[in-house]
Amino acid sequence: MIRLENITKSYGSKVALAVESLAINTGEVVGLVGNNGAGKTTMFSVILDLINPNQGVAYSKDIVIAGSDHWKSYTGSYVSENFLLEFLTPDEYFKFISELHHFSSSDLSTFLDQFEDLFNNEIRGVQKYIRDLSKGNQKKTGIVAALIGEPDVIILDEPFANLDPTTQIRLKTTIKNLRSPDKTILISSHDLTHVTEVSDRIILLENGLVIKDLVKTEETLRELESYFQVI
Amino acid sequence: MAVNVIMGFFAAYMLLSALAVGFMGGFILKEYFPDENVISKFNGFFVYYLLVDILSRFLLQKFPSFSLVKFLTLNIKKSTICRFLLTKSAFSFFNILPLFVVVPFFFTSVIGGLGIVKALIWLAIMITLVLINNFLSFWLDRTFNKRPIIAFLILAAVAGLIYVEYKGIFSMSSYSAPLVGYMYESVFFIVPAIVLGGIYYLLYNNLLANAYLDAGDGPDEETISDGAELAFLDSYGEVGQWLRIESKLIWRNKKSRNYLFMSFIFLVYPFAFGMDWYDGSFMIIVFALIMVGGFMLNYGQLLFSWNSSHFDFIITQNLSIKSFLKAKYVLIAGSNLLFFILTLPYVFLSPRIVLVTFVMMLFNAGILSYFYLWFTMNNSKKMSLAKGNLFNQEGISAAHYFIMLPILAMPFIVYLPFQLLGYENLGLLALALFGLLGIVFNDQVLAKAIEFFKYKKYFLHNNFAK
Repeated sequence: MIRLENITKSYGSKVALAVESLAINTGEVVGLVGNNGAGKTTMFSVILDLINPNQGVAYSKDIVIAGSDHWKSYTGSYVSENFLLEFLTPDEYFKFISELHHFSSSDLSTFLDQFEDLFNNEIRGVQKYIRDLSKGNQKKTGIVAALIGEPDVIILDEPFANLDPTTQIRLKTTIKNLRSPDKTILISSHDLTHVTEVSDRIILLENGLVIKDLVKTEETLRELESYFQVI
Repeated sequence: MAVNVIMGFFAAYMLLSALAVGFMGGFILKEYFPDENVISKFNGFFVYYLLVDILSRFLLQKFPSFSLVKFLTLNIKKSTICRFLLTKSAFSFFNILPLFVVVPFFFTSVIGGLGIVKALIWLAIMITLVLINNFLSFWLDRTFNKRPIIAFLILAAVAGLIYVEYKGIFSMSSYSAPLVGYMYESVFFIVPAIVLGGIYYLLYNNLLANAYLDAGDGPDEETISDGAELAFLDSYGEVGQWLRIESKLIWRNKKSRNYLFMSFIFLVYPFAFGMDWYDGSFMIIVFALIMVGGFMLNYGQLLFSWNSSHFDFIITQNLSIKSFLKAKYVLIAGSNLLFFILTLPYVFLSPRIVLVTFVMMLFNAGILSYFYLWFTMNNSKKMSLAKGNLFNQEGISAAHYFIMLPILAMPFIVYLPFQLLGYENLGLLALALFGLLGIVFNDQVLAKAIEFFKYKKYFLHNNFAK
């Protein structure tokens, strides 16, 4: 589904990302872990064509991502607040994205109904601009918006950060429910427990390099914890 | 950095000019008004200056009220913070500039004219008046952020006073000059001091009462304002949908809203230069460009910076680059059409105005709009939409100061040869044809812009992420 070939991105002498070859297969839920500066967001930014690698090519469905509009129709992503239109209300924001995906408003309403738990009545129907929402509610808005339009590829950067414990648990359920043979999901997180729980493959980055690439087993969480203890 | 250097030079120039006016003022006034009292004449002009001062402070001066929130968590009494902010505002450039006029004039003319005691009272009154202006503008600034209508009404009244004074319909200075005279001739010198004290006290209480995180000095929560829904735009596909979103952006953010209002000022701006510019002179080209292009000149120079806080959305959403750029083009090119319609009433002044605004509408839409598209792809910085001050430098680089040169030069290069040969109407025709060509080949030019954008978007993303 997504393939990185020989990707290098460096800022001055600092290497932000150096991936020789990495393939994410359709149907996988991949968790990306690593300390700050490991290259997680850089990898997402390359996949979303936000930054231009110094060399190498990223593919989505075997089509070169850079400069193309092709991947946009089936890729839903939330990496930072820059993915929000901060001067809209959440309802207007959802509506606009659904229009871009040619969703009717009744489809949108049914779609959003399934996230009532997650929203906790603080998002839909609220007469506030997104910029005036709390960090947590902004994040919920962004994550749900990324799911509009039944995307085949879902990319979420730190989805659990800034959320209250109840919402974190609900979000885990949401992600688990998204799992399907034709959806590819990429999640980065500092929360090792959450990310191993929802993923079936874990990629560990450090200083831009892929250090570990594991199929999740019972042992994975302990292995990751011992790795980060020593480092 | 470069912007600061330019602003620094500008400030130094202003101060030197003020100094010159201060030293020479007495002689100049005597030269032009030999029969009148120099000091009284100066007083009249000074009141006039104070009016202009309120307007320019409103546009240019940065008041520190927003920094209030930063200090709240420190172990300092709130009253101390408020007094500090008020005192800090008194040391603004706008309060120092008039001193450069008043103090030299005080030495060259006032001491000799009034005697030292009255002269000192005169000086105190002048400084008090400037400080009244300062705190009044501070209050206006705060009011403008919360209740823009009231502030606009007051500013319109001030602008109106300046206008009638300028036109000679009603001269406020002829009343105010003797009024200032009474003040230092009698016990009324106490009046400005009382007014100043009152304004200071009101402002101090206003600041103190709002010295809470949620009292509107922090990030403010606004009620939802819809402006026009512009639902008809939806029938124009993705381009229309984005235009609808961007129109919400313009209406719901302070900075963009101010830029919009500013564009309307450009519609009447040429009349500040009197009424002769539209017969025959080449200035009509510049003024027509400004009148129909007000929005393009203002909003267009920051075309992509408006989207700096949600640029990632634009890149990753299911919105093609083509639709996005086309929407941007339609917005600034189309604004020329809207503003052209607003210039139609000028036909009663002179049909030629409307002919030239029509030509410049075509030229702006067909040539200069692309220029802005290209320019902003190369020069865009991150900026906050919430900072309303019109001359807030955020998002502006030195390049933005120089862009006006080619913008104004382009129509001249086309028009001037014809004018020199005496074929002015052919010059207009040439401008119109260039514009039409640009509009006809819109698809081709935009295709180039799309290619360029694909290459430039990483640069923009990087600039906006800083």
